[in-house]
Amino acid sequence: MKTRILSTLAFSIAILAGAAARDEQGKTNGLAAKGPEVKKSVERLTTQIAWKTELQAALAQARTEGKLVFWMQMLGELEGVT
Amino acid sequence: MSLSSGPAFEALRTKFVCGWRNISKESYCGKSGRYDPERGAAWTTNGAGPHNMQLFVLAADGTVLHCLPGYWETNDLAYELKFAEELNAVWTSASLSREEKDARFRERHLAHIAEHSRDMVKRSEMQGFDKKFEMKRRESSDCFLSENAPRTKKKDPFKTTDRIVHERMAARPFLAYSEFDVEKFVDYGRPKYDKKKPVMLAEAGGR
Repeated sequence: MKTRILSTLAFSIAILAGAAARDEQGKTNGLAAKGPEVKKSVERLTTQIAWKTELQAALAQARTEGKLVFWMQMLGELEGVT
Repeated sequence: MSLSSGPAFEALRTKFVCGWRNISKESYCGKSGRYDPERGAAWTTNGAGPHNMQLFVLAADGTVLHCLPGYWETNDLAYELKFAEELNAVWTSASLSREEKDARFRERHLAHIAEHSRDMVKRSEMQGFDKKFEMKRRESSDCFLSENAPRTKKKDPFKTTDRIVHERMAARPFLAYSEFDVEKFVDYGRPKYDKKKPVMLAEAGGR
């Protein structure tokens, strides 16, 4: 399950809005982040946030903690292939 | 980074209960394909890939406060998350009637468009292939600016995605998540958004 979450979230952050990596001459190379950076980001996202997979559980926790729910719907059973 | 760093990450970590689900079986989802994280992350614009991903902000009773289709820049996402918190205050107000709440929802979503920074608007330009798709169905599309509306670029008739999202949300005041018409809401641009494309376009030097 964690592998699936990691892979799916890797995809979710891998296509980044509004960011452009620049090479040494300051020109954009079109890539917003390199592979190792993406992996680090996935790690951060999955270890520092406890992602629920059941909406009702998320809502129940939100009611208890007085928070809102951020519910992400995304394509894929990634692990390299979706 | 959109979710994993910056203000959006901090907001998600501290102020929200986060969850996700796989939409691969849904009729509106994008095309499946191979993604290799080793290749890194590609550049795109706010709201690109609406059929592949939707970011909902829900009140604790499951009411939809906001929905952002596709990918969003971290500062813009954080800004919209904060906006959703303001809407929650309206939704949970004991002093407003349902009619008043719905009216405020509509007003605030539409007003938010004018508050977006120029940079955010620039980051929200529709992808070229999405514009091409909408051009083919111009008669029925809500993605086009009216004749007199100000344009970010000369002769560009398209609304930016930040505008499209808020206008569509304004038409859906405080719906239950179970009643939210995702398929219609994310219907802009090419229906099958190939995830490989942004990487390929980026590597070819596109944009």
